[in-house]
Amino acid sequence: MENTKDFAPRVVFTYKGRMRIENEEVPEAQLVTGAQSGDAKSFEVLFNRYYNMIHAFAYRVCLVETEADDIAQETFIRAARGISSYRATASFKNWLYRVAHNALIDWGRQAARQRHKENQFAAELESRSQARTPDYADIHAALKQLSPDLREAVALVYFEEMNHREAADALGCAETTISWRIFRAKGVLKKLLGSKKGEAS
Amino acid sequence: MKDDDLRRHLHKLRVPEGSETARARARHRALIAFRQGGSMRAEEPAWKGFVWRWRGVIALAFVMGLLPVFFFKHRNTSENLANDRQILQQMEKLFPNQVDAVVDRNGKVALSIAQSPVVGSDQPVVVVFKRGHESIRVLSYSGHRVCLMLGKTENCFEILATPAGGVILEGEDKVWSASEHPEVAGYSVRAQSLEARL
Repeated sequence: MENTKDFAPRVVFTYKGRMRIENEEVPEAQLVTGAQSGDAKSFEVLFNRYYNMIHAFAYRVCLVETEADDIAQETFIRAARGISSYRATASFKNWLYRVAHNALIDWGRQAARQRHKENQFAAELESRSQARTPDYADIHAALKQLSPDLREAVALVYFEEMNHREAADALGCAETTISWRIFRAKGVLKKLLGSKKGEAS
Repeated sequence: MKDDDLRRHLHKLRVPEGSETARARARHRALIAFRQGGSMRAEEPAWKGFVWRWRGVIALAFVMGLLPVFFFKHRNTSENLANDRQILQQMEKLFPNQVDAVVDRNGKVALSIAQSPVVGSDQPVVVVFKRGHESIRVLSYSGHRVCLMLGKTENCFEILATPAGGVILEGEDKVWSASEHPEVAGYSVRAQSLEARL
């Protein structure tokens, strides 16, 4: 299900201080075709439409805001370079998810190699600063226990409300893989969140 | 715990909205990459590139001779943004989408250009560093990274124009907003978008 907040027409103040209303009329296919033929404005509108969606997805997988910033940026840089390779056989949104997924794989490798400690520290700081409710901290901690590929599946199925087939399309894997990941993720999350609930009561 | 309970729990995870600075930077870099992609699609034959490179060298020599004249002419009206725009316009004509920055340090002018036309040039800005009689004026574009010797240390900044027309300098570990008239390494800093149509 699409996040209607991102698709609603809205007034946008551009960098140059001018105001414009965007997203209302122009169909996505037209924007994609425009971008593929080199029209930067079309690409910019696509960026504005999907940045929040990709940023949220990246955050739900990596759970660190600054990392989500970097991954969202990397996703759009890759999309900008590779948009000519996009074919309309898949939805543009799913194609972007696929690009983000690849960026996340690279992030995972880097994080494992170089930034493990820094990420842990940043995540800890962030979870402290954002632990506005016990629920938030618990959920953050529980998600942190999942591997990134499980978190990706959870992000698409639970937050983006995709079915398993759509999530599989977005991540470029088999539907059964998604089903299996969701099964495993549910097991871990229910155990962790259930026990927290038990402790609280 | 039932599936619905799990779903409800998970939706309590608040997703922070990306900062405006991060979004602006991402947009700018993506657009630069987009234009790069476009230029790669329309790649020129190698021999043409060779000819253009030599033209570039000649033009650069010409410009390096010309730049001090420009700045000398406008020295008394250095606050005049129109002059800054004019200088950037001239540079852009000679090196389309290659101008990285023009730096005037107490009258000594340096031009930084990219090797190939990949640099975004839609958001020109001017940044002025002042300390005593020393003045460094930088003409560049939003999203560009500029490194300067301020005192005895090198300081690198990414210049970002904000939607409100302001300018943010993003250093290695700190961010300055030009509207707050910050001080960096003992230099007062003023910055402004040139809002030019180059």
